[in-house]
Amino acid sequence: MSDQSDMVKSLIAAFPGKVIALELAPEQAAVLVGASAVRDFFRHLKSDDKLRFDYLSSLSGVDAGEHLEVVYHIFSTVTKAKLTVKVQLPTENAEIHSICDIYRATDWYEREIRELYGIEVLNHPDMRPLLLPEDWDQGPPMRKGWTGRDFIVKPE
Amino acid sequence: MDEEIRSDQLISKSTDSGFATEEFMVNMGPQHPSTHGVCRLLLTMDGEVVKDCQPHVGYLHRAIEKISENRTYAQIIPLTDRFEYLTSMACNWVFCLGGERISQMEVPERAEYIRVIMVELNRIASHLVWLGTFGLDLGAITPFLYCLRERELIMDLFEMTCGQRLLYNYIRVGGVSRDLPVGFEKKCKEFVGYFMPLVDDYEALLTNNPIFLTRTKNIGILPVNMALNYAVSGPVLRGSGLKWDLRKDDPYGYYHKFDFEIPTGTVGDTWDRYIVRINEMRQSALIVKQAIEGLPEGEFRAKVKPSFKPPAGECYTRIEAARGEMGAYIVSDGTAKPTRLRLRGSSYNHIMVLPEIVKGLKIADLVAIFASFDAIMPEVDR
Amino acid sequence: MELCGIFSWVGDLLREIGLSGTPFLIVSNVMVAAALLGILSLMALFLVWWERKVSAHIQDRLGPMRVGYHGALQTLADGLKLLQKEDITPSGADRGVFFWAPVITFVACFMAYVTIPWGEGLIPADLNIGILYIIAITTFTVISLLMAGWGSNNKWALLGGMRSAAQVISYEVPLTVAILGVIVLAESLSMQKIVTAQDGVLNWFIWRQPLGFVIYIIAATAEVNRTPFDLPEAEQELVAGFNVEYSGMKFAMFFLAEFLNMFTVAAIATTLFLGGWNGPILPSWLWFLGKTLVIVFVLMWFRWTYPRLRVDHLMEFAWKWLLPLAFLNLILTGIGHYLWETLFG
Repeated sequence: MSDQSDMVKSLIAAFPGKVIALELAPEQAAVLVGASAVRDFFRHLKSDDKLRFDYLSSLSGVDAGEHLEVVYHIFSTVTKAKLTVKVQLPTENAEIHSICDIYRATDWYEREIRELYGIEVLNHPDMRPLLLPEDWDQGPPMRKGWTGRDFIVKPE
Repeated sequence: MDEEIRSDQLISKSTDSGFATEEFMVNMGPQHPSTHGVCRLLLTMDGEVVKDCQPHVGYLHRAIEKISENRTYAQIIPLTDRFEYLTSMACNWVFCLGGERISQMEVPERAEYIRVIMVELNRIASHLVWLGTFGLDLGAITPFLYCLRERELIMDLFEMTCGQRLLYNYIRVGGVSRDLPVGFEKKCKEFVGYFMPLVDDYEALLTNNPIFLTRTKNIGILPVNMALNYAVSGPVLRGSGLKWDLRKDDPYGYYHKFDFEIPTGTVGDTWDRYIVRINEMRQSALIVKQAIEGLPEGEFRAKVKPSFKPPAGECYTRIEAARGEMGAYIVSDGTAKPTRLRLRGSSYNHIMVLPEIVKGLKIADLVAIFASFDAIMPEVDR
Repeated sequence: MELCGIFSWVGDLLREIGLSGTPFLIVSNVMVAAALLGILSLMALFLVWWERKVSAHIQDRLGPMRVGYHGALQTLADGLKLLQKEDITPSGADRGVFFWAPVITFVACFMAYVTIPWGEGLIPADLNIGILYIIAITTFTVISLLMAGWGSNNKWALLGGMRSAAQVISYEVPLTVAILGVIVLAESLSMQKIVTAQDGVLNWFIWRQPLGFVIYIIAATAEVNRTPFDLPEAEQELVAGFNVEYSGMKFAMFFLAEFLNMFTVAAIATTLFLGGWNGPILPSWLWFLGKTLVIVFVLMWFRWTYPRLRVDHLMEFAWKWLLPLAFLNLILTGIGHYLWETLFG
C-alpha cells in the first residue's frame, strides 16, 4: 500500500539511523527500531498529527534464537493505519524502556514479558509478576529450550 | 504468595468526612459469585467506598502459548477453543485467519458464509450469558433463566453441526471441518424468527426499570481517551461513544456482504454498555438471517494438506469477538509448528482499566461495572 | 388471665384437673406456645416449598418435583439434611455472639406471633398494645444481624450486618408511621379491635389508607430483607452477607426466620389493611390464611422480578421519600378522621 510505505519512509526520515524498514509481508508496514529510541519513537507515533497512532493492540516477546524481540502491533482508529514495530534485544541482559506512560495498555504487557522472557523493563511503576506465582524460581519459561520441573516436551 | 491479610490490618486512617475512619483491605475472589471467573480483586475500602482496586490475575494461566510452540496447527485449534470458551468459534477463526494469511490461502465462499453464521450465533450465545449474569449481579435473577433457555436453542444448532455445545474445534485452516448438516438451514431460520422478538422481552424486564436505571446510569463512566489509551475494544469501547468495529473498520471474512449497523453508546456508563450489547444481539440475528438466506453452494474447506506447513513469515490477525478485539500473532518458520503464537484477549485490557474507573465508587457499583465489562478470565490468563 | 376464644376449653380442662393460679398459667401458656410453634414450623416448611415453586414457574422451569407430590416434602428433606450437618464455628469468631445470633433471630421472630389474630378468638394473647408490641419485637432482628455479622470474624459478614442494620432501622420509621394511620382510624392498638373495626369488605382499611398500604408493603419488604432490598444477603456482592459463615442448623434458623418474618409482615398487612379474619361463609382462620398468603405471594413476586437497590439509594428512598409520604398520610388521616367523626358522629 503506497500510503503505508510512505508512512514508513517518513518514520525512517524522522529517526535517522534508529529505524529501518522490514519486509514482513506485502501490505504489512513494519519497522525495526533501535532499543534506545523506543520511547521517542512511540511518543512521535502518538503525538504526530498525520500519524495519530492511538491504539496499541498487542505487545509480544519473541525468542528468535540468537536474539530476543519485542514486537508491538499498533493501530490508528483515525487513519486506519497499521504498523508493526520490532525491537531486537540481546539474549543476555535484555533491557527495554517502558512506554506505559505513553500507552497505558502496555502496563501489564510489560510485566508479562519480564516474567516470561526475562526482559528487564526500565522505569515501569510495578514489576510484580502478573501470571506466574510470586515465588517462581525456574527462570523465564517462554525462552526456547527452557525446561521446567513439570514441563514435558512431547516426543516427535 | 501475597502477604497474609489479617482482619485487624489497617491501611490508613482516613479523615475525609470529619470522622476518623479506618480503611481496610478486602479480598474479592478468586472464588466469588460475581467476579466472572477466577480473578482476585484486592480492594481497599473505606466503609462502602472503594478507595483502590488491585486485580491479581494468573489463576487460570495454562501456558497455551508455550504449549502451542510444540503443536501442529490442527492441534492448536482445540487449545484456542479454551482461550475464550464462550466465543470459541471466534478464537478458532482468529487463529486460522493467521495461518491462511501467512500461506495466502483462498477460502471458499461457502466456508466464509458458514464461518460468519457460526461466529454470529456464538456472539448471540455469549451475549445471552452476559445478560443473564449481568442481571444476576444486580439482583434480577429471572433474566438469567430466560437467556439460558434461548441459548439452549443455539447450543442445539451447534451440536447438530459439530457435535459440541461449547468448545467447537470447528473452524479450521482453509474453511470449516465439516459441512452444515441437513436441516440446519431450516432450524436456523426458525431460531432467528423466534429470537428477534425475544430481545424485546429481555429489555422489558430491565431497560426501563427505575431500579436498574439508578444502578447503571452514570456509573463507571469510561472516557473515550482513556479507553483508547488502554486499548479497550468491543462493546466497552463502543459504549464510550467511538464507533469502532473490526467487522467494518478492518474487514475480514465476508462481512462486507452483509448489511448491519454498529450500535454505539454516548456517555460510556454501564447502561450504555448494556444497551450496546442488547442491540448487538439484534444485529447479529440480522446477519445470521442474511447469511443463511444467501448461503451459496460449494466447498466447505480449501484443499489443505493434513500436515499443513505455511511458509516462513508472520502475521497479526484480529477479529471482532463478542468481548472485543481478539488478536493472534503467529510467527512461522516454515515448519508444521508455529515458532510463536501470541493470543491477545480483550478482557486483559478491560481488567487493566477497571481500577481507574472504580475509585470512589461503592462496592455495589464495582460489581455492576465488572459485569458490564463482560471480562472472561481465560482470555486474560491464557 | 383468661385464655382467649377457643383456648378457653383448654382452660376449662385444666381447671377440671384441679390446676389453678400459677401452675394453671404456666401449663396453659406452655401448651399454647407449643401449638403455635408447631403451626409456625409447618408454615415455614410450606413457605419454603412455595417460594421454590413460585420462583420456578416465574423462571419457566418446574422446581422441586421428586420428593413427595410435586416436591411437597422437599423442605422436610432439606431440614433433615441441615440437622445432620457438622456445626462449624470459624476460628477467631466470638463464640458466644456467634452462637446466640441465630437463637435471638428465631426467638424474636416467634415472639411476634403472640398478638397475631389467626381467626375469631384465635389469638394467644390479645394485648391492648398489640401492634406496638409487634413493632418492638421485630426490631430485635437488628441486634441479631449485627451479632451475626460481628461474631463471624469475616469482613464480608460484617459489611452485610452493618448494611442490614442500617436498612432495618431506616425502614422501621416509615413502617411505624404508616401503621399509625391505621391506628388513628381504628382508635386502638389492640389487634383484635383493629380487625373487628373492619367488618365487611367496604370497611377494610386499605380503601381508606391506600397510600399507607403501599408504604407499608414497601417498608415491610425492606424490613424482612427481601429483594429489591436484600443487600444484606446479596449473594453476588457479599457472598450471602451476614450469614456467610453459618452452616447446618444455625443457618437453618436464619433461613426459617426469614420466611417466618415474611409471613409476619404479611399477617400484619392482612390484619391492618385487609380486614384480618373477616369474611363470610368460610371459617375465619381460612380467610386469614388466604389473605396472608396472597400478600406473601406478592412479596415473592417482587423478588423474582426486580433487581436490587444499592445501599445509598435504599437509604435515600427511605428517608427522603417514604418517610415524608408516611407523615403526609398520617396528617391527612388524622384530619380526615377528626372531620368525619365531628360531621357524621
